[in-house]
Amino acid sequence: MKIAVSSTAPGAEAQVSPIFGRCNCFVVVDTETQAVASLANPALGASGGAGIQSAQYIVQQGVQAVISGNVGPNAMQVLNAAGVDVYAATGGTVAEVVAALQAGQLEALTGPSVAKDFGKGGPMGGMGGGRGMGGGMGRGRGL
Amino acid sequence: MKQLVVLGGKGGTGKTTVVAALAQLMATEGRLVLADADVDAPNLGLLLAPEVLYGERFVGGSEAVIDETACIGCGTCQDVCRYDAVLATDGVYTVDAIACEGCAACHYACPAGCIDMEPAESGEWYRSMTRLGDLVHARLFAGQENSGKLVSLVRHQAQVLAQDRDARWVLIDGSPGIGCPVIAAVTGADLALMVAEPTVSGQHDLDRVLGVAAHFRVPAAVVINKGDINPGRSAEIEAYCRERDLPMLGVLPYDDAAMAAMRQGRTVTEASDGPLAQALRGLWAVLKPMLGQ
Amino acid sequence: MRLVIASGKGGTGKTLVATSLALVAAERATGSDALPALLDADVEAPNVALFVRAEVSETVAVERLVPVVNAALCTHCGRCAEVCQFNAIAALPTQTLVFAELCHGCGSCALQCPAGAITEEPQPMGRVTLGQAAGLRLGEGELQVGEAMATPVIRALKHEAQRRGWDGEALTIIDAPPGTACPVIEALRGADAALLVTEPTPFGLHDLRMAVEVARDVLGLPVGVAINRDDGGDGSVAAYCAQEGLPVLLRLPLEREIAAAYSDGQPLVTALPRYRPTFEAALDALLALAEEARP
Repeated sequence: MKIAVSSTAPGAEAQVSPIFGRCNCFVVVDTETQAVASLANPALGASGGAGIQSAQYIVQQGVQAVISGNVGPNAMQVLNAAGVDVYAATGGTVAEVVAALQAGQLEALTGPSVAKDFGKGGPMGGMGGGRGMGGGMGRGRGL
Repeated sequence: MKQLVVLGGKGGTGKTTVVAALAQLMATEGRLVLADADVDAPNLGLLLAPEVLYGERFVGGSEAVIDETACIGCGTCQDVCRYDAVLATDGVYTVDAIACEGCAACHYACPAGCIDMEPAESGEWYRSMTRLGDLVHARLFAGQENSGKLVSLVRHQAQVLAQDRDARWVLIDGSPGIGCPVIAAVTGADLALMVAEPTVSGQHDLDRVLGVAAHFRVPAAVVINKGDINPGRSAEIEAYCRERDLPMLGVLPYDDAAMAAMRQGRTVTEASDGPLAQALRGLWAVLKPMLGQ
Repeated sequence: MRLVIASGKGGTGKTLVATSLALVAAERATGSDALPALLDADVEAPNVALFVRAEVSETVAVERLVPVVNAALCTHCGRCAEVCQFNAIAALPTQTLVFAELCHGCGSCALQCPAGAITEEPQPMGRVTLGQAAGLRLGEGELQVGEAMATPVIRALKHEAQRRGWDGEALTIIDAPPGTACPVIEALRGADAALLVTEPTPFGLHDLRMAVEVARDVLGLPVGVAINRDDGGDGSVAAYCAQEGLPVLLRLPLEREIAAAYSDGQPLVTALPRYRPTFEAALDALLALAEEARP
């Protein structure tokens, strides 16, 4: 399984980042080969929609799970739509949180853990959220 | 670390005066990081005499630039632009940088490939030290857009700094209105304190800004400023809050001390022990437990 | 003739000044003159209608276009997400998500989609209300709560007024939003002169400087200053105006009666008629300033 961890720096020993959309780096760990790849976050300098852009980027990496301190609603929607599971980790290194996930110790996030950073959404407006097309919105891919 | 944002809906309700006083009271009890999210009219610094430790240009977006030498004069850019930002004078096409939204529609549509998107510097942000603690503030250049992005940047930097410093509080001075800068200031905060004015427009705008907080699921509380200017309307705001189960944290009196303190570059609680200063101390006493500490 | 009342800082008294100037102008307009208009362009906090009660004749929805992806035609090439500068589209391997709240309505995705799979649909973002009060035409723009972009609503307000010929020969007074960002620029664009309202405090001076930068330096408008809540205590605003050659066209004292009238939603010239000559003089001076600058 390929797992992307939002992190403060490259490498498996970096700390997990409390944020997703504007985190410094994504460390992708392949649990079968133990390969570790550190990717700069392309959305770091985005004016808006950083969560959407970074989530799309992570989906393109072909990962099956994401670990982050928090994930905003827009990013969560993109990850959900692509069938990527999302887990919360409040601290620790990339290697530690990946191990914790494999040991089944991380909480799966099903809704946004933080309010969205910018823009409209939520229950009042009726305009929030993406308009999906094609594919199912299904989740629940097993570990 | 708890984040408190102070908003007013309408401008001039006394947000900055309240923020400065709360900052002074917080600073006597623990470490705080201040964030001035009113990047259109950043006034907190005027009271706190910040020593700028770090400053950086802010690139808000990009703007289209047409290479006149390669332009074939087809006018496609003008056709696709929805912001009336492409001007044609005697067949020469140029971009009005102020009107340009940075959408790049012209860049992608130009058949001659002669339109580039260039980064637009639209402000500056700073990390400073003040007598009350760290201050993250910013300045948007005149007539620039993307103040929401600059506010997000200020918020983010304040949060990072607060984590580094192990601060107890991040105190955010918000901007007037309900648009992008306000949305950026309020999202993710633990509590929004609304400074309301007992005026017909103050009531109207309070309602709208409370709508924004509710929309982004940030709990709100209200304090009335200059309540004695119109006791009737002040009572109406209190009733409004009761009806909606909104915590009403008090009524601040009109006090010349506010203007006097501002002119001295001090917070009201530093400059005076009058009725306003005492009411502000009372406000902090009820606010603090709401921040879970 | 279009005059804009603006200020760098909120709460300095823009609406107070704009409503009284407009009421004075309305009294002056004789039968044959076209009615003067007052436009509330502070669309995030529109308050003019609380002071001048108008009979509403028309409400126009302000909409913006957002893309809709046709699933049957989409080839998932990702071009739409690539051209979107606002990250409002996520192109995933089997679906394309649109985040309407981030969309600026530029239309680039629809233009660039090679499969012709994107159409645009209008979505409400606010409204323009048009009406009439005694001797005055009134227009108000209102941004829907939760919407981020005020500028299109201001643009629509000006457009609707213009379309009905309110502009022409008659006077239009615009109450601008506070600050110096894009919505203010939209309110000021095309004005003949701007009156910047401030107060004699360090905050007032700081924000006046920023407003002058926008109105005079960026947009090249003739600019006058109004000093509100003048308690004679801080001469730095007046000194700055003198130094910059900015005429002070209106001064209002720091008076509890003024604050009380305002708090109850009464226009100043109605509540305290003794201020009428002050506003008449200010209006004349502002009109003269605008005339002078005309080619």
